[in-house]
Amino acid sequence: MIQQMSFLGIPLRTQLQRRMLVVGYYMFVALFAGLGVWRGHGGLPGFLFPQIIVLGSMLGGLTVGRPVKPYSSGVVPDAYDSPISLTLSGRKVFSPYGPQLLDEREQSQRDHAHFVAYRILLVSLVAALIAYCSLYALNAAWTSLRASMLLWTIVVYAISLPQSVLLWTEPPMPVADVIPMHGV
Amino acid sequence: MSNALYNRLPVLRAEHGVSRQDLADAVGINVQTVGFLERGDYSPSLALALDIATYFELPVEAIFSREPMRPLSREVYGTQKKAGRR
Repeated sequence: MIQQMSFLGIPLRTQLQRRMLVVGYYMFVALFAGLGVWRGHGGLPGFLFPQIIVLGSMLGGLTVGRPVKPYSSGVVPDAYDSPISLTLSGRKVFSPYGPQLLDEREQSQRDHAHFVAYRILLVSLVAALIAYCSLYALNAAWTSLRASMLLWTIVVYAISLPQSVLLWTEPPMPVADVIPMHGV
Repeated sequence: MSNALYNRLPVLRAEHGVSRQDLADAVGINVQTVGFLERGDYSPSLALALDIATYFELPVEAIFSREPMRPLSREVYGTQKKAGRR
């Protein structure tokens, strides 16, 4: 599922490097959200929507040219047999790098990542709700003003979570093909 | 019973002079997946195992096994030796 061996100058060859990218990414998102909370956004300004898209898809999965391969955008017409498989099968994906196939291992990885991400998201949502209700009980006015930033953070988090799970769990890449080729 | 699936892919590739990329293209998977298969980090579906077996023109059990596999040379020559003794 990893299609790039470096991203923004950060090497992604080892599992540790990929995990560092995930940690760095969420630190950046937390910093961004923290800044929004500190400044106290009253509403959800228009510029926050592009931020959600750009930040949420930064690790890939939804767009090309990012560490994680696109999941399913643009299925070759003859490769699907139902509207559901059009969006879920992800067999063939067009990109500027040419058609990209998600083989059976990658499809199973993608599905597993979404399953894990869903469970993490569920726990996170409950935690966020409890945190929000607690803050609201303490200071309703202050919390209401910052509800949009909480929503912004949750949406970015929800969009990026499967890609993060993939980057986190992808085993170390196989070593290069070193077997001497003699042929028969 | 462990889920481990052993294989002879590296040996067969070397014997046939086939790179990972060649094998990946032939059976329609990504080159990384061939690496994961060889390392035993991924167990192929039955369809993929059969495709690989067809590619090497071998029965599937000659390539994949639930038990650790003996070296191919010992399989071939070990058997011949036993047969010769008879």
